[in-house]
Amino acid sequence: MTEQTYRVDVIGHQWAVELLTRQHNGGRMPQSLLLAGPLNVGKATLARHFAQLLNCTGDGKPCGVCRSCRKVVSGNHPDVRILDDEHETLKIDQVRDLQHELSLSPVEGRCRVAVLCNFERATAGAANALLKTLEEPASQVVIILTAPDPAGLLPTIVSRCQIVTLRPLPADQVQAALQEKWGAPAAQAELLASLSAGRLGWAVRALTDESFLERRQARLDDLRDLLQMHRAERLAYAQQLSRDVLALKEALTLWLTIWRDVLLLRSGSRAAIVNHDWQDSLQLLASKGSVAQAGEIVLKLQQALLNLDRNVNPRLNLEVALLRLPRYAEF
Amino acid sequence: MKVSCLQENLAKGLSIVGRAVASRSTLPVLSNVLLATDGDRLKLSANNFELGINCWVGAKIEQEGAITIPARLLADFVNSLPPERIDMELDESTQTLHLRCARFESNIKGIDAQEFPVVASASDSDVAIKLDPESLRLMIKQVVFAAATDESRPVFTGVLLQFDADKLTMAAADGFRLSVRSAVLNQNVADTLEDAGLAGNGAKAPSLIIPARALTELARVSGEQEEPIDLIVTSGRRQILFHLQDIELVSQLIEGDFPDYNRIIPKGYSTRSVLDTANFLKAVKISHLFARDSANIVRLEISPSGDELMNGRITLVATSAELGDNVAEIDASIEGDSMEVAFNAKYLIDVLSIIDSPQFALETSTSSSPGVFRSIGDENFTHVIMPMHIQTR
Amino acid sequence: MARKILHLDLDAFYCAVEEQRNPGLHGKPFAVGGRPDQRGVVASCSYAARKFGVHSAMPMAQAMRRCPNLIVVPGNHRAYSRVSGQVMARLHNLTPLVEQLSIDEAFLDVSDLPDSPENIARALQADIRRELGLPCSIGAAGNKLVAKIANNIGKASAQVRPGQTPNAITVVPPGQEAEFLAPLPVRELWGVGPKTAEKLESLGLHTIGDVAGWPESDLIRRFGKHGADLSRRAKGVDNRPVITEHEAKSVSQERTFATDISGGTQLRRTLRSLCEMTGRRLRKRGLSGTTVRLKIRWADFTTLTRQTTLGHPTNLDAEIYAAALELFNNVWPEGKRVRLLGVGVSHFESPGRQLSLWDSGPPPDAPLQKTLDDIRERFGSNAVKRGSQLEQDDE
Repeated sequence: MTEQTYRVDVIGHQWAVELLTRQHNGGRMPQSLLLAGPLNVGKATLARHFAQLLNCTGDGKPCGVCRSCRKVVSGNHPDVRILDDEHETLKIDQVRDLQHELSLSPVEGRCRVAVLCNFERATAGAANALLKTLEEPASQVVIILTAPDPAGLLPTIVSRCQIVTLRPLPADQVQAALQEKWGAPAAQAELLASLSAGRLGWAVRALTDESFLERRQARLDDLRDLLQMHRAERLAYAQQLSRDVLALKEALTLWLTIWRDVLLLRSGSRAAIVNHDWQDSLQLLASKGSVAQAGEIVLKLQQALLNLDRNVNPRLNLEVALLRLPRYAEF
Repeated sequence: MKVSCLQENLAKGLSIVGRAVASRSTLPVLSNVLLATDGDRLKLSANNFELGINCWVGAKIEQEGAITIPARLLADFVNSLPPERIDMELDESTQTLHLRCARFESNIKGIDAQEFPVVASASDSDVAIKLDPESLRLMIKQVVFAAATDESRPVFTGVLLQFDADKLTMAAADGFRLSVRSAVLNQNVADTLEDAGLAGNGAKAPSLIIPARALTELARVSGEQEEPIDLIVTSGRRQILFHLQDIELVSQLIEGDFPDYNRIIPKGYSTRSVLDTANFLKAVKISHLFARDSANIVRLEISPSGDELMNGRITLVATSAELGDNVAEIDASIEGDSMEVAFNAKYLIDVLSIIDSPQFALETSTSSSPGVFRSIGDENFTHVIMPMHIQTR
Repeated sequence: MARKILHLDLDAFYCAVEEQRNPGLHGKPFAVGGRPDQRGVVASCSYAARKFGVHSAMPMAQAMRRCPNLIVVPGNHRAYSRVSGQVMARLHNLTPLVEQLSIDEAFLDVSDLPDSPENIARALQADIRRELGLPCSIGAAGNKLVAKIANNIGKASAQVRPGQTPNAITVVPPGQEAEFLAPLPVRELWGVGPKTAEKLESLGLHTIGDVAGWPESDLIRRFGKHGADLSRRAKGVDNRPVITEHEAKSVSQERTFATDISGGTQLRRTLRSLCEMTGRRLRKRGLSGTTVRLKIRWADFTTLTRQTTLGHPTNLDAEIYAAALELFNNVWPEGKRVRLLGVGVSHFESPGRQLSLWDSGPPPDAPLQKTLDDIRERFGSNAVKRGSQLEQDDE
């Protein structure tokens, strides 16, 4: 029996892995790193991979077998702190605690690693507090931030980090990974890969979360209904959906992909659309509206998602977005 | 594991390791204390990844073994037992520790000792620097209080230890004050330092920065011990270990560069006042009552007598909007110019409380340059406080 | 009586100063701010640059993409604040009622001047242009709210030719405030941030006129106390006075006697109680001042003020009284009848500042950071417009 490995593998993004590994091996690993790129594209995975690499004591770093590698995965490594909450804001107290830890010599490993996922959820106070550590990190400290877009962070934070921007993976790479690593049947893998818009994390979630596709279908049906609703009905729907912020976020994210597809169809680039299973409806929407209108809706939905992260009242936020949708008597 | 020991011994051991128990941690086992048989003693360990303490208590070992037990619960339980023998037996299959003392019995669920992160321990091959406990405690008392409590500059939350031939110097500072004390070691460590993992960095003397809290704990657990304390730097310069009788204290080091504090100790002065420590402390404490709601400001008006044979005086002035004001005069032997300088009363109280010579000297130059406090008859202590700036037009 | 309020805003102020320092920049697209390779942000940009879509708060790198010939000028804040001081001094020549809002923006209350607001504005604009070589725009109306909005609108709608600046003057005649505001989007209204605007828009209220026409009671129900303000402002009503620096930065108390007083004992007793009230107010606000001012109005209504500077800031009754009494004794001839007595303390400073042992101030870019944060606070949606989107759009 081969020894079980706990190595965090990065699928795709080979150039990024190679770049950082090369820098690390050459002793030029940056002390502050910002991994940017779409949600669920693999930023946190890459960060974990490096957290393992930095303190691995085995061969072929990260070996995935040594105590250090295993502890990184189990979250028990005293020198590796991963704050990967998706939705809670990151508060100044958490940053202060972290800074205290980072000021100490490593307990077991070679260096202290802090991974702050989705750093756009940091409060201004927390971000400013971290600035201090980014400015003069102690020699044994590596800080890795992840965020969808550097433009959403304080420029002073961004300017102190090496930025690595991850792009969506090709659909066939996602499909292959789903089949090989997660044992998905080919047909399902193909569908999820094309729906994932190159975000393997999304595809895996859809694969492993049984109700994910059901929820997706329900939100698509909702959208169909919404397009026929008048104002009062939409407001009622908004009130209902906004009670559950996670569901709301999921819905907005989905609808955003829909309207992006509409926009793409309307401007003639059929190949790039992601919601293949909804193609007829997409066609219909594209035929009914203008490019400008679809573009406007995409912007509104993006704004609504961003607002959610900024603690804007979810209901008002959703209301504003829904009122921008066109109304069709028949859909 | 089957062990018996005296309630007093176990209670004392638990209180010693208690300060290293993690109060909140992602790792549940860190809120536990490790109980392990070690030869003919029972070893207690606590570890919060910043500070780790091992403590050995005398015990009768009938069967070897180890377990970790929730530290708070165990300490509270043991503290409430009568001063008699405690019998402990581990049920390996359920990882439950059975305790019996007098007519009390309890079962406490533990976590497997394998999961407990090892606290580094001294071995015979370690090169140790021997420190006199009395002088170490004095150093800690006179230095640690000046360390910063906020994390804005992490190195200031620690105490700098510098080794130079046969001299050890401790220094701590926050943004506004600095405390430095040195002591002569009873050995020249110049040759052993490198072996001890303490190589110097070019022209700079070998140095370490230790979290202030670790030293406070060291002073506490060293209690009345009179035997030398061993200082050991663990391999890879990762931790510092203090080896005492029956106790080991291990601390992570603070990484970073401590600024050159010699730079901010004034080389000269224009006024030097020698004062009675206790009298002056009393006067400052009274002034402090009035200074509390005006930023703790105490103004010192330093007036030499102009006659070598006569005493000068220092007038302390504190004003409170609500309470009124307070003026106190203290005799002092003053050489130099008359001047006025204001300090934070709290800082004055802090330093005057730890000067153990009956007299001290205050060296000042201008109302905006640092004041230097020295013990009379003890050249090894220096304290610097930056004044408060009072607007004058 | 209708008030005459001016809102003055220097056009592209930093750029105007830079043009003075380097006339070669005139008419060229340039921006003041941080360098693009250091992730700088546009603090101000010339009107020639604005033609390319460059605007303040935009990352400099993006600005360079929009306008490849953009000249980047590092900021010189000392120069800007010096020139700003000169401008404010000219405003003070016109009236003491000047409220400075920022380095390049101020309100003036010119109600006392006989001339029409438009003529006052023209003269002032010409004066600043002639004496200091700086362009500015002015809005005039019966209150601060409308004057400022008028200026914003006037500036935005001015046709700016290459090498020129708006130099706008926009006057809203008395009584026409509501009419002027009505067609404007709600966002123009003071106190309407993106959140409130979205909420208003969801009610179908898109213009200020919509808000003005909406029942006040309903706005109050939805927005609380803020709703009442909204309704009032939407109708162009704003009674806030122009607050001069002097008033904002001093604490004072005065008492007018029912009958004129000539007795020294009673006057001094009043003076002491005024000093105590002043001291209490200072302490309540955690302030200490170095200047004590005495104000006396005689029976013939002429008023006299005298002030003195203390060696250190104070908020202590006794110290204030000692200073005020000295001033009083110097100006009050025994037996002269006094109608009003006042005491004020100003030039606030903290009672004492702990000096730092290590001469390390805040990090050099802390003020810049604050500015950036402020910009983001105000222009948040623009500055971070590409937030959590699914794929990054390449521009």
